[in-house]
This record gives sequence, C-alpha cells and structure tokens, in this order.
Amino acid sequence: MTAATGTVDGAELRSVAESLLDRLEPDDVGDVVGRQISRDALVDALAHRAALARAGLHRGGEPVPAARRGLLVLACLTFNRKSGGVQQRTDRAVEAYRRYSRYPHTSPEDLAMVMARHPDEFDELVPLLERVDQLRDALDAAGATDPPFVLDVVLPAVAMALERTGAATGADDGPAAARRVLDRGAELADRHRGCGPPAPATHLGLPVLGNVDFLLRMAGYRVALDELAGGTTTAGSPELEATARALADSMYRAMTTVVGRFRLRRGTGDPDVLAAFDQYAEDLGAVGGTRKHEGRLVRLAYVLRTRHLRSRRPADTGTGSRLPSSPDPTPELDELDLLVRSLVAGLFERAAPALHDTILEWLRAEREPDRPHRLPELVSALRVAIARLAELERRPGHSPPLIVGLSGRELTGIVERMSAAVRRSGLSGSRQADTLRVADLALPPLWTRRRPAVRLLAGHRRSGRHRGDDPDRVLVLARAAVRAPVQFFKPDNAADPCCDADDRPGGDVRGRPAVDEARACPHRPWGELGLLDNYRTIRADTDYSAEAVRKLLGRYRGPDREWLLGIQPELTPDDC
Amino acid sequence: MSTQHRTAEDSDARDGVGVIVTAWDGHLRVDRAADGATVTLTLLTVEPTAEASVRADLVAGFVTDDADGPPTRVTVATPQGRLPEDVAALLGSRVAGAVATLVDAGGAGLWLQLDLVEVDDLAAAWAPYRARVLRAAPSPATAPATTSDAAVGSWAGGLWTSLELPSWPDLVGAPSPFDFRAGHSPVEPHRPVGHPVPVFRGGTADPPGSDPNPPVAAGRWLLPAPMADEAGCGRTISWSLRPGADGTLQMEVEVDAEEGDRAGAATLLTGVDDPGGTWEPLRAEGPGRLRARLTIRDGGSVAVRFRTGPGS
Repeated sequence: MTAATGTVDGAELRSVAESLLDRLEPDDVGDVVGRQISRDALVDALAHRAALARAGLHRGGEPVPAARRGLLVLACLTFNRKSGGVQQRTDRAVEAYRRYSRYPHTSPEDLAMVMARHPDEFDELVPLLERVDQLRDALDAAGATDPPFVLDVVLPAVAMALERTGAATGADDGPAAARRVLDRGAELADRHRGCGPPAPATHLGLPVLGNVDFLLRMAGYRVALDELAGGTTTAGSPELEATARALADSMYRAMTTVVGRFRLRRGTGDPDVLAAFDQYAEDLGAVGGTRKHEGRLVRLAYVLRTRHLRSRRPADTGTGSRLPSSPDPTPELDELDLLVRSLVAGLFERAAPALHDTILEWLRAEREPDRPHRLPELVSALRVAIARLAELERRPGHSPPLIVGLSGRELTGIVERMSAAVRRSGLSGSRQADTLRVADLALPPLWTRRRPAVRLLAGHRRSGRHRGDDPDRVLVLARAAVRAPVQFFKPDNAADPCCDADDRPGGDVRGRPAVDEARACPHRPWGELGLLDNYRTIRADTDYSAEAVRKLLGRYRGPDREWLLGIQPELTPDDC
Repeated sequence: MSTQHRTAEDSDARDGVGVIVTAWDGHLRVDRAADGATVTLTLLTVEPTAEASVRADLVAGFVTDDADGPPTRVTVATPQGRLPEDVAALLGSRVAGAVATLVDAGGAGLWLQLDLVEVDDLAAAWAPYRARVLRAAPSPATAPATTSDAAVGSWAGGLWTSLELPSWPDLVGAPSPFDFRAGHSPVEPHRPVGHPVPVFRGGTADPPGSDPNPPVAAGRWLLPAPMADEAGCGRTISWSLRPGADGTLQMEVEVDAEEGDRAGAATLLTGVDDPGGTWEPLRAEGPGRLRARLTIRDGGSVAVRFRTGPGS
C-alpha cells in the first residue's frame, strides 16, 4: 500500500490509466489526449506523473485512497485545447487532484467531460450537477413517478433556486421543495387549462409551441419556481398566463435567426425540439427573469446531464476496483467471442455517452420489452451493429474492433452474458448462419409488438430534425428501421398475403403459429426469422405507390439513413 | 476499425434524439379538478394536437400528424367522482384503475408511465373518436384517407364504432327534433353522404300507410366489415326515428342476420353515444332480422355506438 515506487505500483497506475482512457469520450477528449503520442506512451506518461503526484501527496500527509486513483490519473491530464495532454508539472497535477477530490460523487469520466467542455464554469457546474443528482435520488427513493424528462428539465432549476435563495438549509428541505414545485407546476397548468382556451395564441406555428399544453406545463413549473424563490403563493392563473407568453417569446427568439447576431444557443444540426428544451431549461433557471448567469448554468447542467454525461449515478467511483483481474482479456478469441464483441462494438459505435447505460441495461436483459425510453436510438444502434456483423460475414478474419466507452470489466461481463445466451443453442460453424444466430440469441427483445415501435420512431422523427416531413414518408422510413435481428426487407412487389389475421388478435403476435419465412409478414414477433416487409406491406395506409417506395428506399440519404442499412445494398455504416 | 471523424454537427444531431417527447413515449398525467367534477388525462407530446368534444361531457385531443395515434388529452366529466363506464372501458383497466386510486386518495394528480403496448391499446380503442376529431381538424394534408367505412376501435375484447346522425335541420327541417309535433308528415329518408345505399321509405318492413306512428326520419349506416363479420350480420343498418313518450325520440335500428348457425357469432350491441352509455343488444325479431330500440332524450347532435360483445 505504501510502496510509492517499483514495478508493481507502476503497473497498477498504468492499468488505472488504461481503464480511465477506455471510458473517456473521444468526442471531447480524443483530440486532447490522443493527438501526438501513441496510447502506450500516453499511458506511460500518465502513470509516471500520477506516481510522482501520489508520492508528493503522501509525503504531505495526504495518502491517495484506492478509490481515488482514477481521479489522480485524471488530474494528470490537461484539457486545454491548445496544449492538451499530460501535465508537465507535478504540483499542477496535485492541485487538480485536490480540486477534483471535492466532488466525490461525480465519476472521473464525467469530470473530464465537464472540464473539456466548460472549464470556466467547472466549479459551478459540477456542484450543481451533484445537487441535481441528490434531488433526483431523494425523489426516486420517495417513489416519484414524474417522467424523467420533466425531472431533467425542472430539477436543475430547483437546485439553482435553492442555492441562490438559501431556502434549503437542512438536508431534507431540498427534495420537499422540489416535490412542491413539481406538484404545484402540474396543478397550475391543469387549472389554467381548465379555465378556458389555451393562452398564447402567438407564434403557434413554432415547434414545440405547436403543443400549447406542453408550453403551459413548463410555464406552470416556472411560476412554481417563482413561488419557491419568493416564498409566496400566487393566484396562479394570471401569473401563468403572463409566464406562458414570456416563454413563448423567449422560445421565439431562441428559434429565430436574427441577422447579424451570433447565436450561441443552437448547433446547426440541432432539432427544433432540442433547442426548445434547452430554452425551457434556461428560462426555468433564470428565476426572476434577469438572472442570465444562473439561467445559463442551469441550461448547461441540463444539457450535460441529458446528453453528454455518461450516467447519472456513477456505479463505482473507484476506477481501480473496476479493473479486470488480468490486465487484458485473453488474446485468443474464439469465433463466438469475435462475433459477440463485434456486435457490441457496433451497438456502441455511434451511441452518445448518455445512451451507454441504456444499451448496457438492454444487453443485460434488464430492460422491459416495449419500453419506449430511448427506443429510437437503440433501433439506430441495432441497425449499425447488424450491418457491421454483415461486413464481418463478407470479410472474415477481422480482429474484434475497439469498443469505446466501456471499461474492461463491463465489456467482459456483457460479452460473457451474451455468449452464454448463444452457447445454450450452440453455433453451427457456418459464419453466415452464426452471425444471424448470435444477433438473434444475444439481443433481448426490444418490442413484443412492432406497430407501436414503428409509430414511436415516426413520432420522434416528425418532431425531431425533420419536423414538417410528410407523415407518410416518415412512416415508411420507420417501418424500414424497425426490424428485429433476423428480419429482412424483401425488395420486390409480390402481393403475398402474410399471416392469418385470426392468429394475431388485437395486433398481439406473441405465441402465434410461425409464418413461412419466405413470406413478407409485418407482424412477425421479435426473434421470428423471415422476411418482414416488401414494397407493398411497407406502404400500407400511406399514399405511397410501390414505385415511390422503391425510389425512396433506394435513394434516401437524409438523416437517420442508418435505418436503411441492410435495405440499400450499397449503404454501409461508414456512410451514415 | 476505421477511425471516423465526427463533426460537431454530427455530434449535436446524434445527441438530439434523446429528449424528444411524443405521445408514444407514454408519459401520462392524470389531473383531477379541485371540485372533483372532471378528470383530465394528458399523454405528453410536443407535437401539435387537435381537440374536440366527441360526445357530451367528453373532450378528446389527438396528434394531427398521426393517423393512428392515441388520445393525447381526454377531459371527462366524473359524476360522483367516478369515470363513466364507457370511458373506463376505453382507457383500459390500468389507467382507469389509476384514476380510481387518485379519486380515492383525494389527490390532485399523478403520473403514469405507459409502455408501447399500452399506448397502442389506447390508440386502437379510441380510433372512432380519433377519426371524428381529426376529420374536423384544420389540417387537410394529414386528414385520414376518406373511406366510406367508419373507424373501428377495440372495446373489451370486441370492436366498436360510433356512427353519427346527420344534423337535425338536414333530417327534419328543424333546428331541434323536439320542435316537431307528432303527426308531422315524414320527411324523405336521409341518405348519408358517402354511403351509396339505396333508400327505401319507412325503414321497416311494414307496408306504407299501415304504420300508426310513421317515422319522421330514416336512413342507413354501413357497419364496418370487421364488426359485421364478428356479429354474423349484414353491413347495412337501417335506422328510423319516431316521436316517443314525454317528448323523446324513439330510434329503431335493424340489420339482416346472416343465414345459418349463429352459435359462434358475437352479439351486436348498440347505444346512444352518451355519457356512461347503456347498451342494448340487437335481438332477433322476425325472420332474419336483428332489431333494437333506443331512446334519444337530447336535442343536440346524436351519434349511436355499436359494439360486438360475447355471443349469447
């Protein structure tokens, strides 16, 4: 434990560094840490600096506990875009370590993310995020059933209001105040709506504002926050009316390009609804109406928590304890291992960090089938992964690809679980057949009924980047996307009847007799091998002709084009 | 593995999907008015919706761009604090149970997370009302395709639909049916637009002139084919209206029964589309005819529901 030098210690810090680098997001820190030196050299340099810092801390009477070795290694990284890399001075590393140690509830990779993105606000954002997480945990423990997105957007503002007004001095007051805001906001919104027609008639063509109920709900939370900050109770309705109008105005400004003014709030690829939520978060945070700085912090916290940070609750802040027992899994990967790892790599290939835990939950078979939560993103990940497996099938002999964002231990556990699921049935020895079998057996079902999954994707697509897209076109694309691992699109126009309608009462196809796999049947349950759709079935209830569907599916290169992987023969994940 | 360069734009776009909220995400809010007179259910969505009164004391809203979507907002009067039976049936046991729990606890509101199948069941159940609301919505581009068939919903394992009478001025030449007096000469039976069914006078098999209380209006509806199949009857429903006791109107509906064994057929039930709603089975009356009588008490717009239930 106290051995400050020597090969054992060096190897241990090296492996902590390896594990940390595995979990850092390349989008944010890749160009900082991996630019000029090889990974090995980087790991060496980090372990070296960390050993020096640790020795220094130890001498000063601050021994580094095992659980903070990840923080120590993180402290040896710098996140300056110009000179990012490894700390050149041990005293700076020690200073950073002390700074990071103030936030024991945030994982090193999340600290890295905030540091890389918002270094100037780091010491305001991280405590705010920790307070938000505490509120969230307390509400969860009390059995709160509020939708996660409501908590995501309201709690940062509650945490900020409590911080600013000092309303919560005791540990128990925060959650109670949050509960009051959530209940009062919902009550105000409902009561106002019950009084007559929805208030803000202006800007109604705007995204999100298209749904007045949603705007009123947000205005309700805002009035409730004002009441919390002011320690008052308002009459409700007039305040809500005025707030709703103000929200509508700020939304309008946020979404309208003003010539000659630099707009910070929207990335060019952001869907309107995303910008709207960011604006809601900012407006809720700026209680009092003029608190620009608070509003901005709340928005940043909201954006980080919902889109970038890896998980809300760091499963294990001691990075060291995550280490696999051997430094590296066995290099001799058998065929099954290779297929499973390729599948996992495909699923993670372009998943946002905030999706990682959702994917892990799914792969561990802990996700209820038919859960809508993040299903559109999981379907996109599935399409990419299946396409990667198909490449493997065409070009055998690949080594397993790098999996980003998973620690060695997480990866090993997942691969073992998935391999076991496949092994129960065994492999055939034919790469082509086994590729399908692995995808089918290793992936738990995401839906038991396909129709609502299609509708969910279509709804998200309609309100996402391509708002105003033709609903029929969106429906065809969503049907193309929602295919289970062993279900395929049949690109001809055969007018086969599919399964017998009597076999699927109420649209539920669980336990029905299997349909001939050569028949296009849109009602196949997850796991049933066969052709899912053809040009005829995929255009059902739309104005599309079979020819129009053929053109759309053959040429489409717009957003979500990964949905068509496996349908467009020449489309590869690299094009998406 | 190929190293991929991600632009900031890709990254933003890739991240954007996680926060979108549509009705299919299943975030259901139940609110109870302070006086307990109404309950409102809101399935949260950021998409534009249209809302209309679908019958007395029941307002429903739907996403205008989703021809198969669930109700995004339902406001219903709750006499004695309870959901009317028909609305409870359409909401399904889990949602209706949650409303009852809320009422019993005296709470103001609660959240419920529905899964995809539960949302799909709501969408299937509310189809007839959705068709009615979206048809009236000012969004012709996304209006449901015009078919001569009424929309079919699911109802407790069976199917149902709601068919509207033409407006009273069209039917009886008066703003309210309760303006005319008994003995008023019968008007020409009405032929609903889009239902090219041959018209016949009287609406019953009785020879003309022998009816002591001739119908003031009569016409036909087309029962959706799946319902006719289940109930083992023809698709053409004849209806006729006669003045009844105490200023009410008596409606008689009848339909041809299919020949042969009716053992496996579902019962066809009907009722005025009113709050709560009672159901009257169509019973065999005379050879090959199924018939039921309803009482209409209200002078507003009238719709009649049909549903299939377990066979007798």
